[in-house]
Amino acid sequence: MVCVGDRIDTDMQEGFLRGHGTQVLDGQLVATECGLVERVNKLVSVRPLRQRYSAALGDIVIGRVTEVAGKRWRLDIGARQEVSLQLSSVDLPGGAQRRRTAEDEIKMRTIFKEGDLLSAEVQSLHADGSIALHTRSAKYGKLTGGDLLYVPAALVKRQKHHFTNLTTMGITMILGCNGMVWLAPTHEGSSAAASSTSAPEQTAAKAPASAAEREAVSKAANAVRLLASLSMNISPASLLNVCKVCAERGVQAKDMLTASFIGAMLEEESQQRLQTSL
Amino acid sequence: MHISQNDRLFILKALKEDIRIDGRNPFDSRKVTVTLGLHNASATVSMGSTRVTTTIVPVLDAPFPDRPNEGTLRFNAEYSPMASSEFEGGRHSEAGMEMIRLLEQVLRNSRAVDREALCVLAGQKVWHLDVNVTVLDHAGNLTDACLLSAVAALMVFRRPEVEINTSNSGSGVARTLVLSPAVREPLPLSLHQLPLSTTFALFGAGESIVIDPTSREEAAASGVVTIIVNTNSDICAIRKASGVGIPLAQVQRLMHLASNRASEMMQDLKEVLQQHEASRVSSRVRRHASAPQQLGATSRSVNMLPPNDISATVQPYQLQEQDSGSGEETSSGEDDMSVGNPVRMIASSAEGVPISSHAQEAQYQEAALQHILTGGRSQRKAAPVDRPVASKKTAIGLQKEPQIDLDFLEGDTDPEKDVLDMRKALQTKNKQWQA
Amino acid sequence: MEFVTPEGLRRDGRRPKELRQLKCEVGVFPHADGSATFNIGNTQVIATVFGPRVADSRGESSTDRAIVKCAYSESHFAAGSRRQRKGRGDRRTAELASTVRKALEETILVELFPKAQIDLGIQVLQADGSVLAACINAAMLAVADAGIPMRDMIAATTVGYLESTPLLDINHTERTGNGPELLLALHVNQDKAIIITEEGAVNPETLEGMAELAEQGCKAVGKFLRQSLLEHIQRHATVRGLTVK
Repeated sequence: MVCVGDRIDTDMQEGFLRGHGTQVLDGQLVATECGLVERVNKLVSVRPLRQRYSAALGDIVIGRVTEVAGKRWRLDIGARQEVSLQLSSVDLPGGAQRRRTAEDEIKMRTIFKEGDLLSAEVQSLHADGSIALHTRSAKYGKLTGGDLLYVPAALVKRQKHHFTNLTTMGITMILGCNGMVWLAPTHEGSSAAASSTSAPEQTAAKAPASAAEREAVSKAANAVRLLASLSMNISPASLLNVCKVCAERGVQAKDMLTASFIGAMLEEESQQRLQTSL
Repeated sequence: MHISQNDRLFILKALKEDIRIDGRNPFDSRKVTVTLGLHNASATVSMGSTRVTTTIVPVLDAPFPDRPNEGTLRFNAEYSPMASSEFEGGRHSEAGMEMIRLLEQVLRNSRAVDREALCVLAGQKVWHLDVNVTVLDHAGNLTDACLLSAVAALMVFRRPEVEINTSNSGSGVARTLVLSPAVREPLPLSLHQLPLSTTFALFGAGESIVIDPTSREEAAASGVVTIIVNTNSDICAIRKASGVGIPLAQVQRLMHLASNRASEMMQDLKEVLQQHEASRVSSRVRRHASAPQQLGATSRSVNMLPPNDISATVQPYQLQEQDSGSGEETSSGEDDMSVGNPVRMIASSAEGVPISSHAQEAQYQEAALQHILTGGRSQRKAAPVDRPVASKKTAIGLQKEPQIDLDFLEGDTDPEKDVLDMRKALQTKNKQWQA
Repeated sequence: MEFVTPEGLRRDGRRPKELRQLKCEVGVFPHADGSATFNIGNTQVIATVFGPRVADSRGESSTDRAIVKCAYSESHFAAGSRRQRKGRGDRRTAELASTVRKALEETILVELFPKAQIDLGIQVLQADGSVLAACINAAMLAVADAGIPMRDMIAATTVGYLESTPLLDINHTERTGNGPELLLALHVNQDKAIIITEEGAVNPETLEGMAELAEQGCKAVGKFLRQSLLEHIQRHATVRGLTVK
């Protein structure tokens, strides 16, 4: 564990690769952030506890459209860099595979307009550091009829599956690497996201959620909030764990964020860790 | 100011060999020129191409309620776009505000100027001095130039004498009368400290340091330090408010350099002030020997005022015009008779003249001087006190008043000599007058 | 008014080289990217950081580095008597904001974030001398909390000089003595002075003594800040189940 300006011990290794959070001063490796030192082979870096989300290639993110500009949409994903979604990186309605024309450009708002929430993947980084997203897959696209949560990005680790169906609760969860979590009731036969390939009429025809669905979603949302407040990593497993404990103790969804339940969760967590370490 | 990468690298590289792009050594300053306004309220400083002017305007007004015995100093720094394209118009640029804060700190909060001496009538009237610093041309190192011009202006400034008259008014409120400089010599300010600043620019990681940076050097620099030293070699202020970090030991060295430079600058400033004082005194002499002048273009009569009874009217100076249609035989030179001096009539002690602007007075003085030195053929039409002037070659009918006695003037029409004679004459008359 | 007793005690009972009590808390506002409070004696300051994020105005942004902005505000109840004017927007607060901004600009590795903007927010809750120093310290903690890389730790402190004694960390009462005052902000590990402001006439030897005392003071404050940050990380790392090697 180091603080800013501390020297990082590299005596044990002959050569080292300088990673994030470090700098070389007078031949010495010095930390530039407060956090934990990570050594992976020869790569020495310092990872801070909290950091604003910084997009990396292949990340799945959730973002809101802030601007419809020429041939691209600008989004807000809470990242350090500028983010844009090119017109050429989305699937056109009707599944057409063709060159984007001027007409397409004019019709951009029919696909996504300002204020829309969508899930996408980081396609590439431009030369000036800004990010390019794409939604060229059925699972990405506009998100409607669900609950959006903001958690610290560091609590969402890069996992194999960011889109998960929590069948026991009947909800679909999307974990955005940028710290935005989307929870929505699962709809039969279609993915959680209304992809851009489906015609607009279909999305509009989605029925409003039932009371039971809403309760399930709010339970899951509270579980995520609880995990975030305890600074615990958020994953489908941890979420289900929380819901399990909640069910065991017969706690209602609305009481999940009370001090007593949080205390109970902490107990559970510490017990589990004790068990694993034994 | 933005400079290209090439420029920056070039400057840095040259500095590594102790060469600056304008040919100076790292610790050489640019030549400093100080010009003082004849009307004692302004100073212009040039450091190389950087030019800054400070003017001081005194205003007599009520004091602040929490400080009834003190005058005030208000500073204003004008960093106008005229000086550099990097300044925006408007009064609140960051750099301008910093300058104002620095001046306030060093000249006002430090009690460098004695504000109690600016008090005229406790609780009612004090002098408020508006110190306006205007940057005319920005070629680097505005801090030093602004402070030097402000200090020079404060040293040359003379505030008018004020007389308090409690007798006349029935309400019990005293009336203050500002006396014109012709009546009573205005007073200098009481200055406890004379702070002068030296600015250093740091380059790279702080290894190269130069004194008095130009604007290109400032743009290439990675930090700036200003050290202000007063005449007692005390450090009045250090300002390193940004830029690359330097070891504290360096700061000691910079303090020493600043001290040397400040004493040099103060030497030069004092010389300039002395010269200025000399010219001021001689112009004062002329002023006290002033003649009444002629009103109106057509009237060539000169107001004849007996010496002891002077009216308090201010008569504007008018260059007499030749009345071509008069048909009178005038030598053109004669018309230039309204020689003499400004305008201000000598006021009696019973009434004060409202203070008119120093600029006006200067204008008159300078016009008068010009006139004396270059105008007119017969310069010997000197202006003895209170007497209408005439020449020996008086044309008939020109004058309607008695001749003056020009017996103290002799001789020929040598202009230079005339001037010298006239000066002598004025001096004697002045002595008479004073007596 | 006597500021130093013959026994060498100051009005608040400290010795001349003693700092007031230091207290700080990191991560007080979860919504901000980074936040911290810093207390030294009765002076209390809150700092928040947002960023690095995309610059608001393209005209102000720079293509090779991040720009740093600072908004400074003093509460109406911060000083001894309720402030008549606004606690921001005037010349004095503009200068204070500018100084904090420049101190952090020199500390943060801004070259790593082109076209970005880092916003600092400073709120003074209680002002009892050494306010600017406290602001710089609080801002540094907030920036560290936000995970923004910095060149070095920056710590700031003030030194006064009254009754022939250099006094470390002057409070408001000691400021009213109108003696010279020195503010020093130092990169503590590399020993580089970032901000030096001295006000009031003082002779060079005395100033040297004051500067030395200020350096020691900054190092002491730096040690405290480092300790606090490490404790904060320790706590959170444990909760998250991250092991410490």
